[in-house]
Amino acid sequence: MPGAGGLDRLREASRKHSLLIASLSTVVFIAILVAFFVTAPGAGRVQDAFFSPGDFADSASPVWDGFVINIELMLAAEAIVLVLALVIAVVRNLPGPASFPLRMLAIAYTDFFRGVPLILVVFIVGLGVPALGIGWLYTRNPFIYGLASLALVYSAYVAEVYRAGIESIHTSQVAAARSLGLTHGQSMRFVVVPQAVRRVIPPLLNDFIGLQKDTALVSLLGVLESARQAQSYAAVTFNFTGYTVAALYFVLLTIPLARLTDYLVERDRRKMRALGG
Amino acid sequence: MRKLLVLALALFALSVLAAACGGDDDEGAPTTTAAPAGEETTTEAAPDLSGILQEDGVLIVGAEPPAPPFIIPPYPDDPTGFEVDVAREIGARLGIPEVRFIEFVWTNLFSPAPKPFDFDINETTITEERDEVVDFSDPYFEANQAVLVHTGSDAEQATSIADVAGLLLGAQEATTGLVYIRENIKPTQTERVFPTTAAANQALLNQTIDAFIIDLPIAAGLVAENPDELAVVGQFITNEEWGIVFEEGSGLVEHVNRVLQEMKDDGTLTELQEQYLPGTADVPAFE
Repeated sequence: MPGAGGLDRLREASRKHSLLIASLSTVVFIAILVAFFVTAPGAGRVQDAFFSPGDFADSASPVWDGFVINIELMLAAEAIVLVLALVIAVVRNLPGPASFPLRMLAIAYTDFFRGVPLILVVFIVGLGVPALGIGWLYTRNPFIYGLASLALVYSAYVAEVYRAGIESIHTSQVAAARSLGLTHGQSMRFVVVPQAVRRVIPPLLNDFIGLQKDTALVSLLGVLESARQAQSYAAVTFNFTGYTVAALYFVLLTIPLARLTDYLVERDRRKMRALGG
Repeated sequence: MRKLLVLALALFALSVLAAACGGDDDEGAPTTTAAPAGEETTTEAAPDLSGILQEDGVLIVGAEPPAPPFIIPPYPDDPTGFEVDVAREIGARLGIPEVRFIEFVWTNLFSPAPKPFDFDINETTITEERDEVVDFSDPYFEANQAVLVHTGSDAEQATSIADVAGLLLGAQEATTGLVYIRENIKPTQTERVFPTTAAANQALLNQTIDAFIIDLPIAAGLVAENPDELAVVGQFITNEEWGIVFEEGSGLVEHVNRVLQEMKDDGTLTELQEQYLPGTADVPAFE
């Protein structure tokens, strides 16, 4: 029977062993990956077309100018989506026969905008709405139409995320709130929604990352965002390195968000375990 | 088995009949495409083209249809269009009794293979590289960049590059028009770049842009679709000229150039351009 010190030494050795194996397998994995691309018959051509250092330097600045627009779109759209989607989710959970038409409307909205590809919404909103000739719906700024399209589509997705959160709150919570004399609205406001939102933060961030990538579709309306800037660069130089630059910017923005999501999921799990244990 | 045989025989008989009819057509009505205007327009006696043409008395013209309004089907039986009529007029003025159209894929134009046509007229821009492998006629059309605007807008008053530079411009990705905006016009507001002609056209109809810079013939087509709302107010001379393509060293080039010059001088070419590309013949050039 080993003493306490012996156990620690054993654990320490085991940890070192694991670390060694992990490092080794990572190195081998990356080596295989690199070898696969470097030994491809067209490796040189791919490098010239997509990873040319000179073009990387030349396209970095115009693509960044475009990427700033992507970030603006993403932040503005997310702000609208978080509010609009919650409204839709709450409306969908309204009680009573009188609110039936409102519930139907919320269901129709989510069904429709989750079903229609964003690219079509962008075209229909961006080229159709200004054609209506309605003064307050008319702007010469395609950013606004792009923003509206993103908000319309992503609100439908996010409303479903909220709804899942709301419906995951046990009915006993609502029953308890109502028996304390809270109205439906009050129990939603003070009991259900705060718990629901906390539960769905990871999937919300996931949709946020999706939204961030889809901002590139606004280029269809003539906005010179990063993907379109990369395309313009390719059209003039016949070199696609600009796309690699744009991809890199997107990934660099996504990774911190993805890690944040992981952290929140992990924290949530730890909490649950602590409660359950 | 027997049924199949009968069917095969019937099909065979039909195809023979069809071939015979086709032959009839060729012999019976060779003049449908023949020179209609040989009479007064020719100023001098028809030149002797024997040995120059692939087939005596026939001008064989290659093109890849359809390309409205330049080449409009039914092709090759009874095509119309700007380039078709230019070819027919050239044939008439050279005193060639028949103009026959054949289908020739444009991308094969610069291959070293012998050409099955006397000339090919197919929106081909004259370039030095191409001139090394084929012969070009003098230009019959200038594919300049048009300034397409919405009627009744301020942009309609533009008369110079400086005026255009102050407008909110639109262009299609990867076009000469976009390159021209960035390298020559240098507008004060960032241009809008659209993925398709249709999207840029709709933006102009919506008046979310002031002007759309696009090839003149395409602009003419868009005006034809919406004559009340769109207009070409000017063009930028980009020196993209279209020429008729001949096999390298063809003896026909000088004759075609001579009648082309006649057609320019007496206004026939302009008339044809106005007929098929209304509003493009007298577009003011912006500088």
